[in-house]
Amino acid sequence: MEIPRLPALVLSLLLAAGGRLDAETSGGLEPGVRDYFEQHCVKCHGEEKQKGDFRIDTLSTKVGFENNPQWLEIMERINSGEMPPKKTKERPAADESAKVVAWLADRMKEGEAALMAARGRVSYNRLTRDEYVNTVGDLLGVHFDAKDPGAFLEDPEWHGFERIGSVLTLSPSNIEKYLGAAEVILAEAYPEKKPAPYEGTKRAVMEDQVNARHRERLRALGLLDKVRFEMWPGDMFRGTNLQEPLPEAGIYEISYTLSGLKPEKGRAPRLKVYEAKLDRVLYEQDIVAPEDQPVTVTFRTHLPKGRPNIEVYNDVPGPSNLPRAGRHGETPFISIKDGRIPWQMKLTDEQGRARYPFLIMDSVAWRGPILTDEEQSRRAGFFPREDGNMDEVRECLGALARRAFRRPVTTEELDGYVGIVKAELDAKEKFRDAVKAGMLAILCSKSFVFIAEGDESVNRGTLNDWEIAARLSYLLWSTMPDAELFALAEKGTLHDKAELSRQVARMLADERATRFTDSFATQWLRLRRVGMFQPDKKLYPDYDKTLEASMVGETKSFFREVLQGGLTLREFLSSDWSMMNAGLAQYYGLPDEGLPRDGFQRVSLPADSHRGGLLTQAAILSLTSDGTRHRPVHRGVWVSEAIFGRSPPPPPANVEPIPTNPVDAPKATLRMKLEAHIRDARCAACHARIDPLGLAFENYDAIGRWRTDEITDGTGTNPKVDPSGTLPDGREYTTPEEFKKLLLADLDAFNHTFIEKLATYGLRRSISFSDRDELKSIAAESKAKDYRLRDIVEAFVVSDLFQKR
Amino acid sequence: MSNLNLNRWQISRRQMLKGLGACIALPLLDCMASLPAPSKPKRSVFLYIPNGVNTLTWQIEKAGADYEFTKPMKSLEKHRADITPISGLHHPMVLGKHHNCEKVWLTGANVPGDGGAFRNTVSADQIIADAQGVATRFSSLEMAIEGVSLAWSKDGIQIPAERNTQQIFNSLFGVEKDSKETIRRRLSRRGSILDLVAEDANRVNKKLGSEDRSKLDEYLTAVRQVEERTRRADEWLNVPKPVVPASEAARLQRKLSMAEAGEYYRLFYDLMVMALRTDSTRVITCGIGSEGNTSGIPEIGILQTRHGLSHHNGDPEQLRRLTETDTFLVGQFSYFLDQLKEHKEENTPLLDTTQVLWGSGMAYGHSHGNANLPTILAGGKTLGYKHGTHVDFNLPKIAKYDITDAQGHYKICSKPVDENARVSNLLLTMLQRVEVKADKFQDSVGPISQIVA
Repeated sequence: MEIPRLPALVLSLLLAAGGRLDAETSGGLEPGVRDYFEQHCVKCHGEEKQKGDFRIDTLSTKVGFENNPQWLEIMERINSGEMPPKKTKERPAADESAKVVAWLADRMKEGEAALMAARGRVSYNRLTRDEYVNTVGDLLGVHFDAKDPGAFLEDPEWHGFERIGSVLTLSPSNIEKYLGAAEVILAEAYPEKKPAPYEGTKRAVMEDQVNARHRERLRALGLLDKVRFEMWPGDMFRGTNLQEPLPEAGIYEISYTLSGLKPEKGRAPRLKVYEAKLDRVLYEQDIVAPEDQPVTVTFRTHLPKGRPNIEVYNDVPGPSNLPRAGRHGETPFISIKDGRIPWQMKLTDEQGRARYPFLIMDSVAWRGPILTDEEQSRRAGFFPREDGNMDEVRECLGALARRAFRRPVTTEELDGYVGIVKAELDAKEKFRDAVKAGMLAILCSKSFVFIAEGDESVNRGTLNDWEIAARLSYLLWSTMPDAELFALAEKGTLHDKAELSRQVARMLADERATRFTDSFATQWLRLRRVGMFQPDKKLYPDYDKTLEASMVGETKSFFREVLQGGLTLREFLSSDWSMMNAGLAQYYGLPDEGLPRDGFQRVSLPADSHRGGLLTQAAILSLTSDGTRHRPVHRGVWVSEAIFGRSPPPPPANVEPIPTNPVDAPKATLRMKLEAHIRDARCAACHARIDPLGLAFENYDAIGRWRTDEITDGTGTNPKVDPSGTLPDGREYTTPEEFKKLLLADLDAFNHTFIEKLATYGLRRSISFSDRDELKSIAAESKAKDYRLRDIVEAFVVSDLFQKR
Repeated sequence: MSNLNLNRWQISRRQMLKGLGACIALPLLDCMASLPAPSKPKRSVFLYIPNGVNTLTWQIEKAGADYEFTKPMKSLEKHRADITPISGLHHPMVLGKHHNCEKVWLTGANVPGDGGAFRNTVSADQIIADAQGVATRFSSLEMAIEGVSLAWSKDGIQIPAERNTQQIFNSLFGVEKDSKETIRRRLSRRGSILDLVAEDANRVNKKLGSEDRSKLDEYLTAVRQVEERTRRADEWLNVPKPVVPASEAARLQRKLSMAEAGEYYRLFYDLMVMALRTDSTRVITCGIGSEGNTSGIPEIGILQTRHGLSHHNGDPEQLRRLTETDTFLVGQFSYFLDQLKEHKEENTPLLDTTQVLWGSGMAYGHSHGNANLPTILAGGKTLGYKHGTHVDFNLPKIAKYDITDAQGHYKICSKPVDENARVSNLLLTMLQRVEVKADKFQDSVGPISQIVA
């Protein structure tokens, strides 16, 4: 491709003649960089010659801060080694070029951040999918299933963050979905008539499902009500529904009474309840309960009106129940001790213990729709009691809009919503439907779907109390402000830092703070990537969705523990404890006794566990792999971004791939191949900065398992891995543990990154130059408090930055 | 278009109704008074495959009419007269920038090289939908087997794709549970609500400077488009949805998954064919897989994701498997062409009135080489296409392919040989074939004359 012709540029700077980039006016270019261009570029791309019709000396030097894509082009050409051309006599050294590339990349990143941080008079931040669900839940006490098929879409992200206002776009489908969602939500909140309670219990195997031949025999033996449904690994049970359909959409409570037999050496059976129409897992849990002591597990889930399509699985690998193993026979199952049906495999060993993980289902119970009195009265508060009373309509819609918009409502706004109700009444709609139309308009209004900050008529640099309440509430709870925050906003005391401190303490003590820990950890650490490149089934047969969920669960609950346990940022880098459940402990080769099967418990790590801190958690090690191989460079980039807040420049286009290891050549680790690859000088400069951050984890494979040898193609024995490295500043490490120590020594760098990430999340925008001083003072506050996470969150909320638009 | 044509079309539509009566009941024309006059369909379908192909086994080496299909494309032999494989095309602004290539396949937009915020531009299918979408119930259909939508609005916002086949069937052919009256009331209520929220947003918008308005503008545009859709839905309310015969309906409503990939792919293709047969829409985009996570294909013994395979690292076994999945994907495409040929309208196969683009925004996936993109254009004879040759933009400059030199061929797939051979030229050609008045699309240089009759 030829260098494209320069479009007519409106140049802010016209440079002096003679091929020199004038020092006075080129303020944007660092001297070293300017020298580079003067020495190596301007001769062919300057005043005298314009090879490829391209001229550098007239470009604006505000690299990244003006719309000058030519600099990107220049960066990429230098980066790929294409420019300066190979035939040039005095070609710059590779590291010189690399420096220029890095400098340009940094400016572009700054420019981009500044552009994204730029704010008009009003910033509009669309609610994310999760925030929408939480907000309507708090507003009307209705659970909306935003992830069901046809409901809301996943939100776009920017460097992992899902709540950046400028990135969250809005398409017509969003509006259609908001309309549809609001109709569904209002229909559930204000049904035509109050739904009758729905309740009942049924046996897993009903009398009429028992083969007639056996029915009378068992009745005579008094065993007919003892018939159970046995589930082999992978087996499915369809008999969850009661006879009647669900009367209305709502929250229902479902209980299963069942036993779960765990073979001596093997996994526990796992109950998985799945709604096929909604494509949603309603519940899963390992079940261990002896045959004669079944347990009852209960969960609540939101279901639409009608007949659910529930499939219950024993979701554990094992012999298939297809050909010969667990086909259900006509003989009703009562106990495993009765032995196998002729075509089945043996159920028990000599001691009568189960050979496979079995679930044995007794009965199912239902209850619902469940609605608390508080929710009921909240809904009622927004609905006129008297048919046709327009004053009440106005009052109710006003109350709803105020809560929904998270601020006082103007008369003009309210007139509009009341107007809709009137128009609907004029069109002979029923009063109830007419009021709902007004509510519908509120739920689709810009003031509900966007969290707005600023005034349309004046420039304002700081937040008002209502906006502070919303920012705080969406930060810590991912939802609208509660009654207390509302009252404080009304009183106008949320600017007060002592009050803000009190609120942080109160809000973090609330269980909704889990939304912050889960969501922030996911976005900062990019946990959404775990499982994105599905691990190869042949190479990693242990890997399944349950393990994947446990991996992510460990990292999220680790974050929660650091926050709620009063711990410091150091724990993220290195710790002698982690959060574990039984399955994950087995996976790590740690003792699993006494650990919960689901949920997480803090455990001390043995000295030789090779774990501790975030970086050696399975989730982090997996998300930086490609499903087949570990990727040291990806790991390095991840550490660089998550811990040091720096994104390395992109790799040049068209790098030669790392050659494969021929099957007839001696085995080599990926690292050996990588090192051969980066002998290429133009790659080496960048890789020297990235790779040492990733090579420390060579002891962990693509799904985070510990290893000392790398399994690879080729001849000979599998080579030993080499987890040593030298940081760009010369410090060396030989093991992942030593690497963690080096990171700890750089705690201030990490402190700064962490605060920047927290601010990006909290302010819903990228961080720019103009935030630098405020960030520094939060960092100093963090240091003064020994980097305690809780104090950092508080310092951020009481900072001036938090109240800045 | 002249009245004469229009009348003839109307008549033939009635005749077709008679002829096909037992098969598919088309909407009654009498009810269509308020709707745009029926026009002769000019259809477009865009199909995207992720991660490129095994370029070593893919490349057709000879240009012109007597080219030989390579192994993965063998199943297209029977469609030779109706297709044109094209070599050498690329999107200049995204060279070397990888995982965004599905987003710009139909738009050609620039992607910032540093992972920064990306704003797309309008996709070709949506421009076509503006011109060809007025006469049908749905101006366009966006679907995806796996992965995301290919369609982007004029504001550069992605138009979400439907991935659930039952939802697709329901929106096309499903009978509404509510009465017509209830739906009309709901639509009219939606209409007045949209009016109000637009007015409310507009009031604020007017006070903001033009630079401050982008998010509110986005909201307003979206609201207005939904108003338009609501109006359209209202107009179509009196026209019953086409009735699909019970046997076909059952087949199209099966619940399948990627565990039976072939069946699943064909279900999507069958839905597309049915949407075109019933003239429910004339513009369809379908993402066949996602760049990151397209599932393996158990029935040909491949469990790895396509992304995993594309990073084959030169391993012969991985390359073999990649070729196998390429072959599989082309086989499914060939099935789609079969179906379009089989179904006729006025004795003309659907394929002749449908231009189909099949391809990828990636060529050599392993090191993200995205020049020489795998591209096949099919169908649309009556739209003025001339098929039957392999159009190659590399050969005039390189004279000859040497696939035995893998690295050499990968270079061709990473760096354009002819910088003027742009995907945008092809998209422009496609726009012009279906009466979009355009002489430029994105960075197009001009239409591709070799394929125009």
